[in-house]
Amino acid sequence: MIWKIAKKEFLLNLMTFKFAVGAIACVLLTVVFMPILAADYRQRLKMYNKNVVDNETELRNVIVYRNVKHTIYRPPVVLSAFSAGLEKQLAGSAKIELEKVPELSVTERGGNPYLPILAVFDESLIFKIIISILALLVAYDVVSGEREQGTLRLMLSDPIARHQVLLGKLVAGLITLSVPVAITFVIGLVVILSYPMVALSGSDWIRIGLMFIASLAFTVVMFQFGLLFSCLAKRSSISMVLGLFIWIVFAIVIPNASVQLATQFRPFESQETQNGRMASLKEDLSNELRTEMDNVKELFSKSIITSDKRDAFGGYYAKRRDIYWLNAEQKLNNLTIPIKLKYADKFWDVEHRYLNGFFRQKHLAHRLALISPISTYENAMAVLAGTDLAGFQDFINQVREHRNEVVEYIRSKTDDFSSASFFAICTEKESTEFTRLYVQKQEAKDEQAKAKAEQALKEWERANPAKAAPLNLQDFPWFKYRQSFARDIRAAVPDLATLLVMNVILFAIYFTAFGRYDVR
Amino acid sequence: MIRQIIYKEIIENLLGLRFALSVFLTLCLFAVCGYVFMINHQEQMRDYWRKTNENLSALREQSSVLYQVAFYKQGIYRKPQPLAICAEGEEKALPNFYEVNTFTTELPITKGQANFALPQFSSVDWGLIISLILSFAALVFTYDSFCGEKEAGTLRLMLANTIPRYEVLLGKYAGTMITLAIPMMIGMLVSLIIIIPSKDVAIDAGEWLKILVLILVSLLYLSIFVLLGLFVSSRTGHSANSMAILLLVWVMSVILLPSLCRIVFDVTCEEPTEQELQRRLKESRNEIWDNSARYGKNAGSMSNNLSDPMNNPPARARLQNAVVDVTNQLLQEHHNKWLEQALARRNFACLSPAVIYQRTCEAIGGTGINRCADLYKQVKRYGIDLKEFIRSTDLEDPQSLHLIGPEHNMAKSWRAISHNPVDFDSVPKFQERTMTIGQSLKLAIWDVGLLMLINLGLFAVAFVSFLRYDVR
Amino acid sequence: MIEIKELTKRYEDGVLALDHVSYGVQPGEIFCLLGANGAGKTTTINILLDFIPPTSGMASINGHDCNKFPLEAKKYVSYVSENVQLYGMFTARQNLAFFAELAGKKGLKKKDYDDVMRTVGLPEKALSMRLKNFSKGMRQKLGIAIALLKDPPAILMDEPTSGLDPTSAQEFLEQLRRLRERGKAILMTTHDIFRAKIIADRVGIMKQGRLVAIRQRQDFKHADLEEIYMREMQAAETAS
Repeated sequence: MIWKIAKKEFLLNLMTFKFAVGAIACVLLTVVFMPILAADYRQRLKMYNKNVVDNETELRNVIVYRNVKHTIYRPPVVLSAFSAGLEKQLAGSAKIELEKVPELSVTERGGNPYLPILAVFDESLIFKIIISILALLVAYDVVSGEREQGTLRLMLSDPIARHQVLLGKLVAGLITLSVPVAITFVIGLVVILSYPMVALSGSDWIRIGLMFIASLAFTVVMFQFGLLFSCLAKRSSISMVLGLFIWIVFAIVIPNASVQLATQFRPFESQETQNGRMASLKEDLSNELRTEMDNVKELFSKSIITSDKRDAFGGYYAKRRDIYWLNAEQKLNNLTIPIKLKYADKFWDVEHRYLNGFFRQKHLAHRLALISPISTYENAMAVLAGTDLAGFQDFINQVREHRNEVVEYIRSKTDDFSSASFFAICTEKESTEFTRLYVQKQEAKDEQAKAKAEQALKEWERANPAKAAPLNLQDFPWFKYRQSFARDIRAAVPDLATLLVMNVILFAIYFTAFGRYDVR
Repeated sequence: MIRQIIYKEIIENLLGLRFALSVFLTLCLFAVCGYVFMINHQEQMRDYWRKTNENLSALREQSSVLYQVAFYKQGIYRKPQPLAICAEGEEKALPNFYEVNTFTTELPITKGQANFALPQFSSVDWGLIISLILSFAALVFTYDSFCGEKEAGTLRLMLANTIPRYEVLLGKYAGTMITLAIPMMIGMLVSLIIIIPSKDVAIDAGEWLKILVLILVSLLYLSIFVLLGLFVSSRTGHSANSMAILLLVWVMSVILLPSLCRIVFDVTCEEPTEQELQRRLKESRNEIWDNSARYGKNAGSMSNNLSDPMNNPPARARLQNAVVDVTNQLLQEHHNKWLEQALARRNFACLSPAVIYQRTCEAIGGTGINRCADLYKQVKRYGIDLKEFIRSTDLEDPQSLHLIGPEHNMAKSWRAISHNPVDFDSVPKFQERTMTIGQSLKLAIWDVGLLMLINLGLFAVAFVSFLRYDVR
Repeated sequence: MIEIKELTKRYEDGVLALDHVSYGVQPGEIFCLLGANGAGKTTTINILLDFIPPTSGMASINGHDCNKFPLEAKKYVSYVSENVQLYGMFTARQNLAFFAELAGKKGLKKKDYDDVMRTVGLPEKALSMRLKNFSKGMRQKLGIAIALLKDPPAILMDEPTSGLDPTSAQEFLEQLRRLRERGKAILMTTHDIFRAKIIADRVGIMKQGRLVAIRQRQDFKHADLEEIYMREMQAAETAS
C-alpha cells in the first residue's frame, strides 16, 4: 500500500514544472561550476608543485646547516571542489626555522587587502541553496495541496491508514529528491575526473560516499520541514510561505547571525595586548642572549678576518674564518641556540594561546549555527573533505613534528650546534693554518717578507680551495603530509548525528500533526 | 480607480501571513543590526581616538627637533563611520592602517580585525537585510499577483469593469512597494532609535541626507524584484510555477552570480605578488646605488663628519631622493594594481543587481573600497603637505643645509634639516575629509542610473506581458 | 442591448469555438445559452468581456463594440462568474466595496450593502464574515450581489446555478425575475435545462460552436425543453 502511494507520488513529482526547473538548474549549475572549480584547483596544484619543487631544489643547495630554512606547503585538497571550507582563507604554508615554531595564521592573509574573501564558492553551494529549495517546493503541497484538490479525501475513503499515506509520501519524497542529488554528484565527479591532474585515492572515494550520504540526509531534513508545514497548514499558500520563511532563516539569517554573535560574545584579545606580550618575551630573549654574548665577547675580541658568502634561503655561510672567530662563534652557537630553541617554544605558547581565542570564537559560531541544518551540513561537508579548521590544525601539527625532526637532525649532525659545519665550510684545521699564514702576512716586517707571506697564503689557498658543497641530505627527514582519514570521519559524526536527530524529531512532529489533520 | 487597487493590495497584504512574517524578521534583523553596530562602533571609536591621540602625542614629543618631525613615522587609522550601519562594505577586512612620514607613504595594511578561521560573511548591515531579505520578501509578495488572482477568479471580476489593464499593473506595483516600504522604514527607524542615543554615534545633517538618499536607492532596488515578480506571475497560470521560477532567478542573481563572477575573475587574473614588488624595489635601488656617480661625485659614500672632503651633500641628497622617489612610484603602481584588480572584480560581479546596489550604498555612505582608496590618497597628500611644511620651516633656519632628504644620518650629523624646535600647533596634522553629499552622488550616479534602467526594462516587459495575459 | 453578429472564433490550435453566431438580447429579456461543454458558451462571454478577441464578426454591448472599445462596453455590463473564490482574507463587505468602487459606484452606504445582501438572500451579519468561511452557495450569492451593486443594463452569467441546492436556486430565479422586471438584459449560459425552462424568455442551443436553434418561450412552454434540446442536437448532428 505504501509503495503504491509512493509510486504515484514519485511519478507525479517528476512531471511537475517545479521539479523539472530544479533538476535542470542543478545539472546546469554543476556543469558551469565544476570546470571553474577544477580550473581553480589546477591552478593551486600547479602553484603548490612549483613551490615544493623550488623549495626542494633550494634545500638541496644549502651549504651549511644553519640555513636549512625551507617552507612546507599544504597540498590543495581535491575534494575542496565539493566543499571549500577554509581552504582559500587560511594560509597553507609554514616556514621551518630554529627560532620559531610553525603555527597557523588566522589574522593575516597577505596579498591584496582590497580583495576581501567573501562567501565560499563550491559545489555544496548547489546543495545548500538549490536542492534545499527544491526539497521545500516538492514538500510544501504534499498534504495541503491534496487536501485542496480533494484527492486526500478520496484516498482516505479507501481502507488505508493515515500513517501509510504519510509514509508513502515520505518515501516518494526521498526517492524524488535523491534523483537530483545523485545526478549532481555524478556529473560533478565526471567533470572533475575528466581533468588529468585529478587523482582520487581509495579513501577519497569513501569520503565522497559519505558526502553523498550527508547530502541526502540534509535534503531529507529540508523535505521533512516542508512536509511538516504541509501537515500544519490548511492551504498550500500558507505552507509555502512558512517554508520560504524557514529557508531564509536557515540559509541567510542564522549563518550570518551566528558569526556576528560569536564575535560579540567571545571577542578575541586585541593585537596590542598580544604584541605587548611578544615584545616583553623578545626583550627577555635578547637579555639572555646578551648575557651569553658578553661571555663570548672576550673570544671575539681576538678575531681577525672573515668572509661570508650567500647561501640558500637568504642565509650566509662563512667561507673563511680565522680560528679565533671560528672558535668564538662555535661557542656562541653552542650557548645561544638552545636558548633560542627554548624561547621559540615560549613564543609559540603565547601565540598558541592567543590563537585559541580565535578558535574558540569559531567553535562558538559553529555551535550557534547548529540550529540551521544548512550550516550543520556545510560543516559536515567541510570536515569530510578535509578542508575544515581541524584539517589545517592537523597539517600544522605535522609541520611542527617535522620541525622537531629537523632540529634533532641538525643537532645530531653538528654535535649539538657546536660544530663548525653549522655555519662554516672551513674546518678547524684549515682555519688554524689560514690564521697562521694570514698573521704571518700581517706581521711581516718588510716588503720582501710580506710578499713571501702573501705568496705562501696564495699557494695555500690554491691548494685548499674553499669547497662549498651542498649538504648531504641522504638521511634528511623529508616532510610527507598524511591526511588523517579516521580523524576526519570521526569528526564528522557529530554533525551527521545532528542531521539524523533533526530528521527523527521532524518525523515525530508531523506524524502526530497528520494524525489530527482535517482532511475535508 | 487605480487608488482602489492600491488600497486593496495593501490591505490584502497586511492581513496575510506573509506580511506578519516579513515584519517580524526584518524588525528583528534591523534591531540586532542596530544594537551590534552601536556596541562595535563605541569600541572602535574608543580604540581609534586612543591610537590617534597616542600618535599625536608621540609627534608632539618629536617636535622638539624639526628633522625628527620629518622622520617620525605616523600611524594613521581609518576612522569608523556612523554610516557603516547602512553599508559596511566589508570594511572589517579592508585596510585601516597607513604609515606615513615626510618622504614615504607605506602601502595600506589591515590591522587585526578579522578572524579568518570564521566562515566569511559580510556583516549584518542594512545593505544585507535589504539586498537579501527584503528582495526575497518582494518576490514572496508578488509571485502570485496575477496568477493567484487568476486562479481565484477575482482577476476576471476586476477586468469585467472599465479599469484598463495597465492601471491594474500600476496599482499592484504601487501597492506592493508600499507594503514593502513599511517593514523597511519601521526597521530603519528601530535601528536609528537604537543607535542615536549613543554618544559615540554622531550623525550630522549631511549624513541624514545620505540616509535619505539610501532609502530611495533601496526602494529602487526592491522595485526591481517587485517588477520581476509581477512579470513572472503574468507569464504563467499556476502560482507554484511562478514561485519556482522566481526562486531560481533570485538565488542565481543574488547569491550565486556574485560568487561565481568573483571566482571566475580570481581564476583568470593574476594578483600582483609581494615577491614581485620586493624584487623590483631591490632592483631599482641597486640600479641607483650602482650608478651613484650620476648624481654627483662621491654621492655613494658618506662620513658622519661634515667637513670630510669626501662628502658631497647635495649629490647625496639627490641620490637619496631618487631612491625614495622610485620607491614611492613603485609602491603607488603596486597599490594601483591592487585597486584596479579589486574594482575590476567587483565590476565583473555587477551582473547581479545585489552587487550594483551594494556598490551604490558604499558610494553614498562613504564606505568600502573607494573610501579606503580615497583615504590613501589623502594620506599621501598629507605627506606632501608635511614635506612642504618642513621645507618652509627649515628655510627659516640659517644653520641648516636645506637639503630635505630621507637619510637620517644626513639630517642628524650634517644638519641637512634644521635642528630647531618647532611649535607643535603649527605642524599640519592629518584630518580625514569625508565625502560631501555632492561627491557621493557623483560617484553613485552611474549605478543609480543602471538600477533605474533595469527597473524600466522590467516594467516594460511586465507591461507587455500583462497586456497579453490570458485571464480566463 | 447585447448584440452578437456573425461572431466567429478560431483558436491557434485550429479549434473552431464559434462559427458565425448571431443573436441579440433585449432589455427586459433573459436569454439562456444551452449546450454541451466546449460548445462555445463560455467563449461567447469571454469575447463580450474582451478576454479574447474574435476572429471575425462583432460582439457589442449597448452599441459599443466589445473588442474595439472594451472600456466603453464594460460600463454597461456586469459579470457573474462560475466558481469564484473572491478575496478570502476580506470580509463580504470589503469584497463588495472593492468591486463597487471599481465599477465606479461611489458613496455607497451601509443601507445599500444591507439591501443588496437581503436581495440575494444572505443574512446581514454575513457582511462581516471573511470570504474563506463562506460556503459555495453563499459565495455564489455574493457574486450576484457584486453584479447587482453595479446595477448595469446588461448582465452576463456563466453557469450561475451550478452546484446550488434547490432552495438557493429558486431564490436565484426570483432574483432574475426581479432583474428582468427592472429592464435588464441578461445573457446566461447554463446546463440546467430545468431552470432554463422556468426562467428563460429565449433559449439558444449551441453545438460545436454553432447556434443550432433559438426557441421562444411559447415554443417550449408546453413542450418539454429537454426533448427539444435533444432533438435539435441530433438534427444538428445529421445536418453536419
